[in-house]
Amino acid sequence: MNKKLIESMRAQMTPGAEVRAALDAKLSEPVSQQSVRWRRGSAGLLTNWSGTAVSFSCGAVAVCAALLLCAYFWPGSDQVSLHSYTVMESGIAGYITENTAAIPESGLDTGAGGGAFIGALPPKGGDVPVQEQAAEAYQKLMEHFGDDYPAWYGGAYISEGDLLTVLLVESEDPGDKTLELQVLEWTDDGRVGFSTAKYSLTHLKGLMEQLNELSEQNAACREYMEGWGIDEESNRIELSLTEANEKVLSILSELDPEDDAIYVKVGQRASADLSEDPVSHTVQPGGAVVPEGKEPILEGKEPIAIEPWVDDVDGAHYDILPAEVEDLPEKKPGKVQSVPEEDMSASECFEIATSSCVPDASVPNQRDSFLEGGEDGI
Amino acid sequence: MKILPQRAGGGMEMEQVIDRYQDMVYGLALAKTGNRADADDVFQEVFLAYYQSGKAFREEEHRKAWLLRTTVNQCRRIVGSTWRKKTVPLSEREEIPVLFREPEENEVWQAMQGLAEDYRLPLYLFYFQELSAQEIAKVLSIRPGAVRMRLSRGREQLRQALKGAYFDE
Repeated sequence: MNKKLIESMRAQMTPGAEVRAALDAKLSEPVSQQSVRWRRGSAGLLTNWSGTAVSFSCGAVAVCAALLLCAYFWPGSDQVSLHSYTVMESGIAGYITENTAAIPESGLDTGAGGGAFIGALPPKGGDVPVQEQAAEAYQKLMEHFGDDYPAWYGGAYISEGDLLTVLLVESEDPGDKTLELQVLEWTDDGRVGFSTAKYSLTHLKGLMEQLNELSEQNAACREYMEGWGIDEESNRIELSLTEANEKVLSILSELDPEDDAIYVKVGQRASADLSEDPVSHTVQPGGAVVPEGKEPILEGKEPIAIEPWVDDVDGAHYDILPAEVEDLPEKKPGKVQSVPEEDMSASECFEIATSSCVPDASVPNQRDSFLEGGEDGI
Repeated sequence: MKILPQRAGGGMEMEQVIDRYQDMVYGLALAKTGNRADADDVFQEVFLAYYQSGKAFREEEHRKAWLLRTTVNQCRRIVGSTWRKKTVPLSEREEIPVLFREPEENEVWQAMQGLAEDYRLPLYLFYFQELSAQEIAKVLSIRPGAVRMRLSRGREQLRQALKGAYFDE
């Protein structure tokens, strides 16, 4: 486009002096004090409250302490909070510890030990060529991380359409797209999408290590913990238990106080369906099943098959056919009557076909060649 | 003018940042919203957000990208705000047309405003802000290929609307 015209227009697309003055005035105002979030525990209450409310806070703390003491000595108050869990009716599929040998080839770091891993990225050079672009973007992203993942990184997975979805830990400013731009730059604008997550991958890895230690050091936990792994897509750890053991669930509740970083599944390990009737059929030699109401044929008493014998057919005459084949007629069939010619005079196709064959008289060469050909034909 | 406290900037004072990028932010807001009242709001919101974010950028390109991206987001927020639609009387929503000095400038502006936003913004960023397809892709969160396609189609539509005038090529 016309560059002078564009420059002239651009020079006029500026904010007015009043707008700029209004902005400066707003910027000169003192920054409003952000509200401090309440923290858990009485210590947090004391630290957040201002000095004028100290006496009130002391009273409140005293009341809280009294309530805690009452709760401690109240009968039946020794109930321990348990982690939530989901009962899997179809049994535990996946997360079988015996299969963990194949896990490191999955592509992503799942933390040390543990179980299988859901939502894994494809193995490098694996049999999923469709996901190559996303996997390449993932490798580029990993190159920018050091030994530890950054606190804002919640994990990554490949979603439908060969798109690498990078999870960013929720921030206080949803409009801030700096991280997205940074990731896009690192991945050379590869096929990358973004989603938010509550927990960073570092936090989940820390939980994984705690679960690993738990299974190694605690015999009760080792007995019931079947398998566990990070599901980056769901931004949580999935843990399967063979039984909803209260002791294990209480420990898990301490590890995951908000009850959403570890998803606990309880179910029996998948096994053969025993509800089916056992096989009770008698099998004869050779694998044939004895029909109901008949005695099985004992070994060594099998009937001998007897071939049928026909007296009037011996080997020398075996290929003689029972009836003679009718001879073919000696004379050739009569002349076939000619098919009457179709009247094509009214047909448009015929006209088109014939007209295309008629030479154009205005073109002498064409006409001459046609005539020559005709004479030769004659 | 009062010296603004240096909160955001990373080595660049707030006033310098505004001086440097105010035309870019305001122009993009004007191109996206189509009226000066909304552009004024967006302009203020963007720099207030920048000031309050306390961001420090290692490179100037990152600051520029952040401001452009925030401008697009603020435009969406202000234009698409249901609160705004409900509370602003229709009589006040009559938008005063953006007027330029020269008639041909107004003609180009009207032709650009007649384009769909998908084409208008890439064209604006390409011709007025002189961004590359890669940079436009980052600002609009679309793929560079999509930017090139929109530029091509948008330019063709603009050429038709202007009947071929003002195109040097």
